[in-house]
This record gives sequence, structure tokens and C-alpha cells, in this order.
Amino acid sequence: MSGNGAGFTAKLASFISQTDTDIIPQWAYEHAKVAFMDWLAVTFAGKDDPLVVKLMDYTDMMGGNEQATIIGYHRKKDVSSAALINGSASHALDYDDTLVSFLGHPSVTIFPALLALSEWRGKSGHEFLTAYLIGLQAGGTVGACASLDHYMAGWHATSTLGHLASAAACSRLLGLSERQTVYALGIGGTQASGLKRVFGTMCKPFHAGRASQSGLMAALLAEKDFTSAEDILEGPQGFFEALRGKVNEDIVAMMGLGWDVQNLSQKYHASCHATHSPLEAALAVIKSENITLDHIKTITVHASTLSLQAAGKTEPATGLEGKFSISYCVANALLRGVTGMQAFTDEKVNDPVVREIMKKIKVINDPEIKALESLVEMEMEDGKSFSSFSDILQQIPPLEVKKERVASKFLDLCGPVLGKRKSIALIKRIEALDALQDMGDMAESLL
Amino acid sequence: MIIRARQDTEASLPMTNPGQEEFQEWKIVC
Repeated sequence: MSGNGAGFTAKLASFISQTDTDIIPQWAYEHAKVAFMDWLAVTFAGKDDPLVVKLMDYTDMMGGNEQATIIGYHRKKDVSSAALINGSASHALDYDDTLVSFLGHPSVTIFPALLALSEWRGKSGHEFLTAYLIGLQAGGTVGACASLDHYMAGWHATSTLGHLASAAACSRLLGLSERQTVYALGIGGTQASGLKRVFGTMCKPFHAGRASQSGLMAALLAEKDFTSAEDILEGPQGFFEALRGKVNEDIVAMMGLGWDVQNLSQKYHASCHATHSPLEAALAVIKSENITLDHIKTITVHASTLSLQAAGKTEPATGLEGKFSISYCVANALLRGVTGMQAFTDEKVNDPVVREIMKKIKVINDPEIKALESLVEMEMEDGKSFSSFSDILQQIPPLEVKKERVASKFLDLCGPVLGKRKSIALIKRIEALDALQDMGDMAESLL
Repeated sequence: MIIRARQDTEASLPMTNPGQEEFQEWKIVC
């Protein structure tokens, strides 16, 4: 290929295989550990989803060597099945992280393969985290080139880009040569698939596991010098031409200049994304004005049409419906301050105390409010009024706040499975992950 | 080719071509 974009796959492979570890800033590793903690939390929470049970049954039927841990099952399976199952479990609840440049959910496609491979090959925590950072950056770079056109055409970018990100991360972990990495991208890229048509079915989480598994296979095949195209991304009839997108030289020029891990957006509330800005704004008013619930006369939540369509349920009857009710989510947050999984049980949603608060809440469609923004106004019994605006899309907290909030989420999701003491111990182990000599030791604690 | 990452910048990869309506849809159901 000549002209713009020539050699993009090779440049990406060079970045993946040759970037010096010692020049990756420590703060990037700190972000990577937060991302891993978040990924483990959502994987434990999703492990019993029916789709995971079916994948366990399927892979049992296939057999295989016991090489890598299936999280929360006290069992090991072959690395390929482990990547598939843990990846699918981690996306089962749609509670995992997103990255704008990746056009979707990156960690659920990268960590499953890396954990399985690291355990099997005895890689260190530092190697594991480095491979994650490289894979994430590679996936984000391809995603930024693919642009939203790729997603809007019907491709589930989490899956398509996940194939490449997983291949990139696994290639780095295995220490593949630049040429082998080109092939790994080629093998990963030609398997890339995943259609948005299946959203709402078991196939959406399956995409994450499948992408992770395919990337793992790509790197392991490339390790054996299995060949593929050398220009899978930019070449004629390649990834961009077939699946939309094109090499963006401005994006290419950014390779090595920054670490997009800092832009990962973790979900801190176990409810529909459209409820996040209203409850954040409501909590901000309470906190800044030191308000007690008894003094509130009315709460008016201004929301967009989109948010109301997604989360406008006024009389939720079940825990699941509560996740799609702005009024319940706001009332729950104000009453309990806990917005994790435990807030979305049938019992909690139907609690008379929360129902009384919901009566004070009015959710209105405001044409001035865009996307997932929200304005919350509170009128007090004494006539005073306060308000706060929130746009969850613009709120990626700094590292220290992320650490605190993800640790809290970890306890919320893992506590019921592992117990509080073991969950706290696991948090400590993750925080020291970069010093761990053998990821097998980490995997042992995830059984 | 060895690419050295600079630590003095915090370059962020963008989402390219984010039409407002499309971006809203993406964020809801990505």
C-alpha cells in the first residue's frame, strides 16, 4: 500500500513489541491496577449469570487441559476457555469500564486472556500490567482510527477492536517479535466480528469473551510463526476498508505520547447510565449544602428525552426496574448513599421509606438538557432552594478518587461472594500487583 | 523502530467523528 496509512500495522506492531517498559510512567501502572480491580469485581458479580453457566457446560463438553482459573468457580480450564468464560462473565452485567477512543469496553477483552496466559506461563504482575497498558493503547489507537462510523455501521466495537487489543496485549506478554506481532494482529483482525444486532441477548457479553479468546489464540499462533497479512488494518480489503475507518495520521503520530488508561471510565452505580448524572447531582446538593432529607420539600430532576426513554420508570416494582428509574435511583442515593448492586433488590425498591422520598421527586423532560446531563433542583421546607448540574460523561475522577471508588465497588460486588475479609485482602494484593513475581499466585486467590 | 513514550504529556486519544446523536446512542448502549 502506498500513500497515507502505509505501514500502520507495522508501526502498531513496533509500538506493541518495542516500547520500553521503563519509560511507561508509574501513574499508568496505578491506573492499570484500578482497572484490574474493577474488572475482577464485575467478573465475580457476573460469574453466576446463566450465560456463564452455559459456557461452562459447553467447555466441559469440549474437554481440555486445566491451565487457567475460572474466576469464582474453584476450577481451572484450558487458557482458551478461561479467556472466553471470564471475559463473558465480566461483561454480563454491563457494569464494566468504557473508553471513548475504544468505542466501547476494553478491559473485558484484554484482562481475561492476559490473566489466563500469565497464570499458565508464570508471568509477573509487572509483565501482566505492562501488556495490559500496551494492549489498551493499541486498541484505543485502532478505535480512534475506526471512528464512530465503525460502531454506527453495526459493528460491536468492543468485540471487533477487542480482538485486536487482546492480540496486542498477549503478543506483548509473550514477548513476540515485531514480525510475529504483525501476524498476531493479522490473525486477530481477520477473526474480528460482533454485530450490534445481538444486543440484549447473551451474545453481547459473549462478544467480550470471544474477542479475548480470539486475541489469545492469535498471539499463540503467531508465536509459532503462523502467518497472516502484514497490513491487516490499512491494506486493501483489510479491517478499515471492510469494517469502516481509515488510518488517521494524527492518531498514528500520538502513539507513545500518552497513556489512555487514565481516560478509562468506570461505572460507580449499578444502574442505567442515564440515572448517573441525576443521582450525582442530587448527592452534590446534599453534600455541599449539608441538607438532611427531612427538610426537603420537592426535588425536580431535569433530564433529556434520551435519559427519560432509557430510565424514566416512575413506579419500579422490581430491583431490575429500579435500575431504570431515575426517581428511585435519586431517592435511594439520598436515603442510603449506596448505589451498588445491593441497592437493586425487590425489597429495597419497594421499601416504604424510599417510596416516600420518591413522592417528592419529579422528573421532567427539559429540552435544554442534552445527552446524559442532568440538573437537580431542591426546594426546602423553609423556602430556600438549591441546585446542581452533572454530566457524567465529563466526569472521570482523578486517580486517587478512582482508587477509593473502585475499592468500594469491589467490596460491594465481591463481599457477598468472597466475604469481606477476603475481599479486603484481595484489594491489598491487587494494589501490590506490580511487585508480584508469579501471576499464578494471584489466580490462586480468585478460584 | 523503538517508540519512546514521553512522560511530560498526557495526550488523549479522541473518539473521532462523534456526531452528537450517535455519541448519545453509543454512550447508552455501547
